[in-house]
Amino acid sequence: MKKIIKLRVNGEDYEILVEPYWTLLKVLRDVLGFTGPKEGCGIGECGACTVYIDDKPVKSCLVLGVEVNGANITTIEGLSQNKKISGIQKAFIDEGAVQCGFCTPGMVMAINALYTNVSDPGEDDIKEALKGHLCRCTGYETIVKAAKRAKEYYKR
Amino acid sequence: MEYKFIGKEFKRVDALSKLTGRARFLADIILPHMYYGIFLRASIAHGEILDIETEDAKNVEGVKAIVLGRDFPHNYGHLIKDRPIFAFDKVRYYGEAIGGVIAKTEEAARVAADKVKVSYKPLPIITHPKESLNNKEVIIREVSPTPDMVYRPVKGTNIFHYDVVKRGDVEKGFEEADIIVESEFNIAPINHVQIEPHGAIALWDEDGSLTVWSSTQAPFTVRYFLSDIFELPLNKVRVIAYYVGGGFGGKSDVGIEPMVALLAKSVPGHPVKVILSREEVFHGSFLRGNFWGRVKTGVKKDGKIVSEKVEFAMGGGGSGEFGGTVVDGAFKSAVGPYEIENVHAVGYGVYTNLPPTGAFRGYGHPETHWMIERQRDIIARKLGIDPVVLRKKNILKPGSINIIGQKIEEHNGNLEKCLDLVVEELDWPNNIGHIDKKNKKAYGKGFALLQKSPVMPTNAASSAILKLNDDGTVNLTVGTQEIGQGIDTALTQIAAEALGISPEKIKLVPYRDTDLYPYEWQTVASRGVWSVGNAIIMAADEVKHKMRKVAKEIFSVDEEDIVVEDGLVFPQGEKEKAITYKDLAIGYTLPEGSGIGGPIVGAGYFIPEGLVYPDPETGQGNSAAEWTFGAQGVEIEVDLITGKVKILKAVTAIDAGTIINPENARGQVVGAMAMALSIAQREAIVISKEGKIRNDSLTDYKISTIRDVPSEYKVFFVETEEETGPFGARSLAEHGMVAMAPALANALYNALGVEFFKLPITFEDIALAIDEKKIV
Amino acid sequence: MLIPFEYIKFDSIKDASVFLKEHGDDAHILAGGTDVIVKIRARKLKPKYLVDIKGIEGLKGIEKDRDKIVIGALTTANEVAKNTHIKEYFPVLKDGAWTLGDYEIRNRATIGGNICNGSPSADTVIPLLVYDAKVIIASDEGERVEALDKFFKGPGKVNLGPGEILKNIILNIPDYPVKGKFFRVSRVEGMDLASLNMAILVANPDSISDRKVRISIGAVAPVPLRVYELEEFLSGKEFTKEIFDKAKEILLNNLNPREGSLRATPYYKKRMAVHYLSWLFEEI
Ligand SMILES: Cc1cc2nc3c(=O)[nH]c(=O)nc-3n(C[C@H](O)[C@H](O)[C@H](O)COP(=O)(O)OP(=O)(O)OC[C@H]3O[C@@H](n4cnc5c(N)ncnc54)[C@H](O)[C@@H]3O)c2cc1C
Ligand code: FES
Ligand code: FES
Repeated sequence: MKKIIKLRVNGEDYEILVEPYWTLLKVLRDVLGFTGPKEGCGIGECGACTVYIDDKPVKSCLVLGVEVNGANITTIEGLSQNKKISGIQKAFIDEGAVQCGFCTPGMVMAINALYTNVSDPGEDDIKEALKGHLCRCTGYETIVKAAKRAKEYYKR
Repeated sequence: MEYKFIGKEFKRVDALSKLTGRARFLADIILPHMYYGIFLRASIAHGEILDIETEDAKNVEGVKAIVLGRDFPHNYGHLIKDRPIFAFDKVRYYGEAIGGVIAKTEEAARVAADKVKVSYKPLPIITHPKESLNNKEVIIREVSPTPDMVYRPVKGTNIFHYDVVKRGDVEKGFEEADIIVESEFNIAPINHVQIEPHGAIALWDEDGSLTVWSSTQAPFTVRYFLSDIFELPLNKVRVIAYYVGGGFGGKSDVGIEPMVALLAKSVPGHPVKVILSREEVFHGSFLRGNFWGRVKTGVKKDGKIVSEKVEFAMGGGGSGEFGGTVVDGAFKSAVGPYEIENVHAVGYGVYTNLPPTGAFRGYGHPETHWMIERQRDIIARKLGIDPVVLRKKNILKPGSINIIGQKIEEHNGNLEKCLDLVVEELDWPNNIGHIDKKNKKAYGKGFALLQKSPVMPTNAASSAILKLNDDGTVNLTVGTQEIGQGIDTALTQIAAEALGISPEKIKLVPYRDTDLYPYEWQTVASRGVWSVGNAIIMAADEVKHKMRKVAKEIFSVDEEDIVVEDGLVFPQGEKEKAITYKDLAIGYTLPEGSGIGGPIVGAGYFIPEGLVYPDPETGQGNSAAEWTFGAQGVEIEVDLITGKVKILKAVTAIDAGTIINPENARGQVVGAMAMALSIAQREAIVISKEGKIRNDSLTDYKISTIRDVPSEYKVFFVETEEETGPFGARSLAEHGMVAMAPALANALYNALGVEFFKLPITFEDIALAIDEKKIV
Repeated sequence: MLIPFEYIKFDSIKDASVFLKEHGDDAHILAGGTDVIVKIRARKLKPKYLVDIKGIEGLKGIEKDRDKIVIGALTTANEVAKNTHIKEYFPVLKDGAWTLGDYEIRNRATIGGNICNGSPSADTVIPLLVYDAKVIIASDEGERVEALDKFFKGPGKVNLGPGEILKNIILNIPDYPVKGKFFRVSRVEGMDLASLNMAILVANPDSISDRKVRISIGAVAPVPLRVYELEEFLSGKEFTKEIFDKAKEILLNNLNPREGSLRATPYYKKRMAVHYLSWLFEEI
């Protein structure tokens, strides 16, 4: 049976009707049009679907829409607001860390979350934060570089 | 040569939209009145379909139609016609699609699909190519050669295609040799694991025209097959593609599009969307098939290779249409980048009870190089000479004749220099390997050489259109796909260089649409920059020519006296009079008010000239358009407790001609190295006795994570300008894959003294070898 | 895509328990969902009702109660790994919890779900076993306490009756010196399930006669394994080469990993278990 849920997504409030078996990822993508988070596996293994629930990063393919009634959700679309992109997004451009771009939203969300927890993450922190994010294109070299480079933008 | 925009830093044109989530991929598309499809998949690996019971499924609420293979019993193909849209007579691999359900929601389709009952008469299965090659009892698919067939199936066997190379006399060569080395090699089947699963949407209009949205690398090839299958004129088939979330060849062959189109045909007016689940990507897309090969080499004491006999078989899966050309690719590199007087190589494509083989980054080359570059080190060891010396004695250089009889020219690139760069970076031959018993570690270095040419039809063509806008900016459309390789960025730079305006002024229109964009064969074979780049240069010439024609009227001089340069147009020697592209873009207004010229559009094309089919008996002939050479190496640390290998350094030196965009080029090479090492160290499709893929998820098919990749990457570009390439560029994107596996295995020998002959070489294999050799 | 089910959320154990009993196999508990959703997606689990227990009071958080630590079943793996009490008194559990999944998985995955999922290699269970954890199981009829080691019945099978919910995990704070370690090997170094995990705890490590050893191993038997025979053998012993050889034999006799695992062969698991055991002999 469909249920009404209230969500705040990237600062906007929504009241929507969802099926109980729709994942948060599906609700965001198919109902609300936030197609930034991607589905690469649907079982928590690839990280492409990462969003924040009340500022905590989670894999939205493993969460039901009905479970997060009343929550505050942030997607990749919410990282760049008022036409300004975040530091980590800038760093990805600087380091050439985007190729096909399918893993990118998840990577960016995970690194951005890392910066909210750890002010000066080292290489190991970065790899720990990204250990459940798969990229088949880059060999991760530029992604690690971008994550380090982001420090310049998050400081101050 | 000095360029303004080629070889200079220029950031990816698609980066921002991919970073903000705005970039569009197939799965993001939702259309009005859309239905969802789910494929019905075989639950056995080989068997005749007896009965399909769909009553219960039809009764599920929301189901609109059920389509079965037997409703449209048709095999398609361009080279052999052995690909059913949906299996209709028998199933040839576990998970083969036998039909599909269309419903209002994907959940309803799924529920209904699970209610379809199929009965089979099971048949014995074969999954290994060597077994299939020798088997005459279990025939997976009967095909007989016909005159119009491009492949060469052998009746009464599972062979659907083969290639032969014959040069000199191998037997005589073996007699002349001082030693003979024979080895046998195997490679497990693997999946591309693009992070974006495959998907397609199809819509039939009431007028019988078909639109397909697809995550394809080859929209025009999809269009061709759809028009062929459904007997539609090409202009009634429209294929639209957005960004592709990783291709690696796995989205270049035509797989799900005809299936989705066939489903949608039963619900005209409604788009039908199918996105494969990750499990289905394993069962229902393409694999790099398993591989078996044998090499026999005759060598002189001084290291000169006099004779080499190579035999290999590639598992093609249940249909060979897209796997046979991989054999065609492999055989041109059957002996690697070496000049050998006497060669006999035979490569077979054989049916197996596995998902069909298709293109995979490297297109047969990683497989043959696995054998050959292992064999070279083994030979050097047997002779007691340095493997660098052995290779240098035999490698292709200007003047050498390669395996297909082509004479290597200076402009083909400098393989020796690549080798030198890699061994220098490895500090070869110092400390090539040792065991540190105290710390329970072993260290080793290894390297290998590579060559590859684009594997493509002799007439694989490209085109490009440049359109000037009123403000002097330019729109560029091409038919090749952005799949992550950075083609949109490189082509923007080429257009900028060719037009003499900054790349910021050029918009390569993202996404592709066969109705609106100019023709492109496929986005494969690393040929995009080379082929489409050439087409863009021609288009730019046409733009300039049109501007000159108008300018000569304006300045009242001869056309030859008009200079078009850096965005300016002026009479020779009178730069102060220059007008800009903007002034000419949509026609020029003379002082008295009348217009001349008109909106300027330039079109260009490219087709590789002079390519021929190889001679069927000897494989000789100019069938490879250009070659890229390179060398790769690794330094490794082996943990003697866990057997795990840490790649301390991965090196590639490659002569890809002029590098258009150094940052993106490096990204391609580094990504390819990482992918190749992931494959070499751990990737294998695990097949059960019943022929089912057991590890059909990312939980159990593991690719390298951020903690598994090399600690350091080194990339060297040797830039010998390619005569046939745009601004001297040639192919690059696959090559970082080609020789990484043998380089790793060669390093493992140097570390542990163990020869590995099969891929992957897992840490369990290594641990077992450590125990067997009692290394700790 | 998930096949349809209904979702219902309760805020008391009593109501949830009654509902669960009423619907038997049709109803399935949902905590963090990181096992449940995966199984539903694979259609290995087809519940009619998913019963969300995240609204129930008293199942969340970690409390110190004199000489005990009480962990609510809904406490996430990240909360366990970051908790100061756990870090201080139960570092092996901290390490186990931190290896589970990745940061994002750990933000959802609960310790109760990890236990109740019944995986033989659950990364919080292996450490909990060497700490002699107890579990409190509740239903509308009341509560019962059970040793965690008695809770596992087979792969994916735990000792929960109809309507029963795991409420808390109880750990006694050791009042003696302990030294312990969590070991784990997996196919990749990034996120991956354990091919083998193992916890070793030594009480009174510096006094040979008072030494007590506890060892648990994952992925070598149908349930997470406590190796009592080996523990008895090692307790009160000096860790010499001869003892190691005998210990190794006992260890191997107790392991029964199944053939055909996609994570590691029996050979490799045994090899690594022996290696981890050698830690006792090298570090204590
Ligand atoms: C990508 C990925 C990686 C993972 N990596 C690891 C890993 O490294 N190590 C590891 O051990 N696990 C791993 N897991 C498995 C899973 O995350 C853990 O087992 C997790 O702790 C389960 O907790 P949950 O809250 O998500 O459980 P759920 O999925 O909600 O529930 C799991 C099971 O327990 C039952 N259940 C839950 N809570 C209770 C309760 N309080 N009372 C009674 N029954 C209950 C449910 O009905 C269900 O059967 C991984 C999972 C994923 C998807
Ligand atoms: S789609 Fe959620 S982790 Fe892969
Ligand atoms: S950029 Fe393609 S998967 Fe990471």
